[in-house]
Amino acid sequence: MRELKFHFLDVGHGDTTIIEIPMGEEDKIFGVVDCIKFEEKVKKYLKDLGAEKLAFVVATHPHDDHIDGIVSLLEAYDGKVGEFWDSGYLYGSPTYMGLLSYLDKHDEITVELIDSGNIVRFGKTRLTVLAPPDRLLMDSNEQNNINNASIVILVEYGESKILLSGDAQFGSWAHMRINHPEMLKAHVLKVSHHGSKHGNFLEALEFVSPIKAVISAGSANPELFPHKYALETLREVQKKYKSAEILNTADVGDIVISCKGSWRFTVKTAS
Amino acid sequence: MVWAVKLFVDSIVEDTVRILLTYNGEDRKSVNTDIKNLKKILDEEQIVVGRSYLIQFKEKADFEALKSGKIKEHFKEAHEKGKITVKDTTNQELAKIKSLQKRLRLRR
Repeated sequence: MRELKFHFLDVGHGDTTIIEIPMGEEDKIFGVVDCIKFEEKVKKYLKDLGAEKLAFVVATHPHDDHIDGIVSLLEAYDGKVGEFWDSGYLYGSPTYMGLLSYLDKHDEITVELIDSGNIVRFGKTRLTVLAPPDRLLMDSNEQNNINNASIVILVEYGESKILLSGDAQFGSWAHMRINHPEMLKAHVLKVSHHGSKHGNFLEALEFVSPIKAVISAGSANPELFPHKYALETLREVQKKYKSAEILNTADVGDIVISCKGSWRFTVKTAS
Repeated sequence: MVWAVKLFVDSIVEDTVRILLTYNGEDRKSVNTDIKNLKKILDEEQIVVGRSYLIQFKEKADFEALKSGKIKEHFKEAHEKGKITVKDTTNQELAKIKSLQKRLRLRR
């Protein structure tokens, strides 16, 4: 099989992930999951990858450290973005307002409201949305727990499984544990909430049991992500693996993880 | 002359609050501050994520201070003397978002 690649960019505190998906014998498509800043570095990175258009752009949830760069990204790819995925969480931030206003003026972009159970296929790659469910989305709206409205995506390619968990917290993990128990196990975990202790706890991480764990955090963030508790919990569940790794963009820069449909993954870092 | 800043509470982790400040209609800044500090200007018992406020200043210096992300010691006192007025605009902002989301949903 050809390579499926994940590019976890070092963007300081926040998230910007590019997925490079093989299609057929030679083609590939690109998707972007969250974009805190569409700065020169991200522009160049996408250009160097040869991403002339984007099949999809995902806002896992409307926190600023996940969506602040999305309008600039969409502007740069004017007319070349297929779909925008949103959880539909009701959130009054000026950044989210700006994003919705942009989408309102650009009806060439298909806006998909995504929730638990949605499945999208691109060639041999399958993306299954594990969260948020409708109920949790409503609860989150009522309780102001925006992190639990995060779109969580399991990417499957052959036997390779990669879980992108947004900023999922206890309510979201509990839903996934009950409603998608067979789908939670993954070889690679994009660690929830920049390694926060509020998004990472033993039962959830034991269930996922990732060989590689990727954290996107800034080196001097005021919340002190990743939290020690989350790191120790990850180490505990990874003890059984020889090739276990916890990779933090703050320590190693950009992280590229690729796979060819098996449990073997290649990791490349900037440092 | 009254100067105004829109303030949005974007996230709270432990004692750190991330607020988004919008001034002159468009310019936006993300600022991290201490939750106790923010209470000086919002005068709220509890700071809640997702709330929007319109803050109006009679003193340009106070406006400039908040615009640059500084929440000053005297803000609470100025607030009490009416030199700073704070209006909770959460419902108006959410109504705008709801309407946009509905339009985008109907477009499908």
